[in-house]
Formats: sequence, structure tokens, C-alpha cells
Amino acid sequence: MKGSQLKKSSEDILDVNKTEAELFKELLAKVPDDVSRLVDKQMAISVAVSDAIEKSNFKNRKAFAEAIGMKESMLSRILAGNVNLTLKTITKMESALNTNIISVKSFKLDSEHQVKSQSGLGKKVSIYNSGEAAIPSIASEDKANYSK
Amino acid sequence: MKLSFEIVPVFEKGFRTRIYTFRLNGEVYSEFKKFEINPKVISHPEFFTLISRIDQIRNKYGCRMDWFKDESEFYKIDAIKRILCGRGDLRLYCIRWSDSLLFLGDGGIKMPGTNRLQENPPLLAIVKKLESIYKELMDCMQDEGITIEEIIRRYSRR
Repeated sequence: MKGSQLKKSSEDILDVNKTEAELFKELLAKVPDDVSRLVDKQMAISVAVSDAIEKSNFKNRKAFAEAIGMKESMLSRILAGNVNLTLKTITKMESALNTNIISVKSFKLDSEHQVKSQSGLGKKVSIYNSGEAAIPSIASEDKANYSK
Repeated sequence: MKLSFEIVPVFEKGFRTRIYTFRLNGEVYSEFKKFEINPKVISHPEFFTLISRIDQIRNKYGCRMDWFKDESEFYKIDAIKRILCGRGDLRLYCIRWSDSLLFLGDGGIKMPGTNRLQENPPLLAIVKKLESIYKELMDCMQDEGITIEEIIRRYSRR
């Protein structure tokens, strides 16, 4: 009874007559976007760290782990792509390996934000690479408004 | 030589890894299909992470050793592994033949409070099955003087 229930239940979810590849693709399509992004990043970091250790002057992984005060088992988990790493840990590894493990896209001119002045009129403000807001033509006017 | 199973292609054209599974003679489903349609497995919180990892192994990174854990119980066969996925209890066993060739087996969920494979008879049975398949593959290679590629050509379902 239990077995047939299980079988029925699985057939409800997936068509067992499909090939292994078809089923896999069907399942893959159901993977939430955040999950696939996380897995991709974890595995990419794992590869980057592993390759960087190999190219480094560290004798082996154990020596690298010791150098950054990390347990070898923790390093194994990182290399298995099984850890939700903190920026602090990533940076520590980058520093010891003298390389970038991750990079962040520079802040580009990608948006125009509406800034409302006191008069209620929307004025466009561009955001530049530096992350600073440049307000070319309305600078003096709005500067006064902001300081109020 | 007659094998007790057929080799079933899952993805023969992965960018980094070709993936196969096995269907034992007399059985309806292949080992990996049993896993794919197992409702307990599908509803496991880490199932989609595992699916995503297999996809990355197939298309992007290949079978790097770091992503597998040794699981051979009796014969200590290096190639018998499970795919690492989180710290949870979801298990998928496989034969990691090389960086670019992977045979997926069945899997399941580890019983709570157990650590050893021997404490999980259903999972142990899956690993034993893979061990015997691996031995058969090796015997076939030795007896017929052929490579794994030739075995795949001869014994896979098309």
C-alpha cells in the first residue's frame, strides 16, 4: 500500500515514461533562480580557491589553512562548494593567496534617478562610477535644498 | 561478455562531463531514474541544490574531486563516491570514472542519527550495487581488452 502510494505520488510529480535526461531537464527548470545562482557562485569560488592554492607557494592545502588560521575541514568544505562564505573569509583567503577570488562589477552609469526639489519638479540625477551623485545643472539649487 | 546491466546515457554531450547511469537486467527503471522519481528525494530541501550541482558539473566545471566523497564500503573502490551537497542527509551515489565521465547511481535520504553507511541498509544496498557494477566493468575491460569508451559503445542503450 505504502509503495503504491509512493509510486502514484511520484508519477503525479514527474512522468516516469520520460528519459532520464528529460526528467533531469524538467527538474532543472524547477530549480529556483537564487538556488542556481548560489550553487554556481559556490562552485566557482571553490575552483578559484583550489586553483589559486595550487599556483601559490603554499606547500599544500593544509599549510594554506594553517596560514589563515582555518581548520582543514573548513577548507575542505569551502573547496567542496558547501559553505556560505562571508566576505571576511573570502578576503582573508584573497590576501593570503595574493589574488582576487571574487570581483564586483564597478558601479556604472546605469540609472537616472529622479530627485525632487522643493518646487516638486522632478530633476534627473546621474549616478557615476565613483558612486557619487553628480547633479550638473541643479547642483547649487538642490544643494541649498538638501542643507535645509 | 554479458553484463548484468545496460548503460543508459543521461547526457552524452555535456560540455565538461558525460553522464550515464545503469539499468539492471530485469528492472524497469535505471538507477538514476529511481532517484529522479523518488518523492521523498524530490521533496528534500536540498534536492534542487543537488540538481543544480550536477548541471554545473556537466556543463561548467567537470568532475572535480573536491565535490565528491568516498563511499565505497567493502572493496574500497576509489571511484565509488557520492556527490557532496550541503551538510544535509541527501545522498546520491555515483561512479566518478574521470574528470569528464560520470555514472550516476541511485540515492536516498540518510536515516536521522546515523553516520555510517552500514547503519542505513537501503543506502548500503545502493553502494554495494555500484561496487558490483564497477567490478563488472573492470572485469569486462580486462577480459575483452577494451576501454570504458568501447564498453559504453557496446553496452549502452541507444
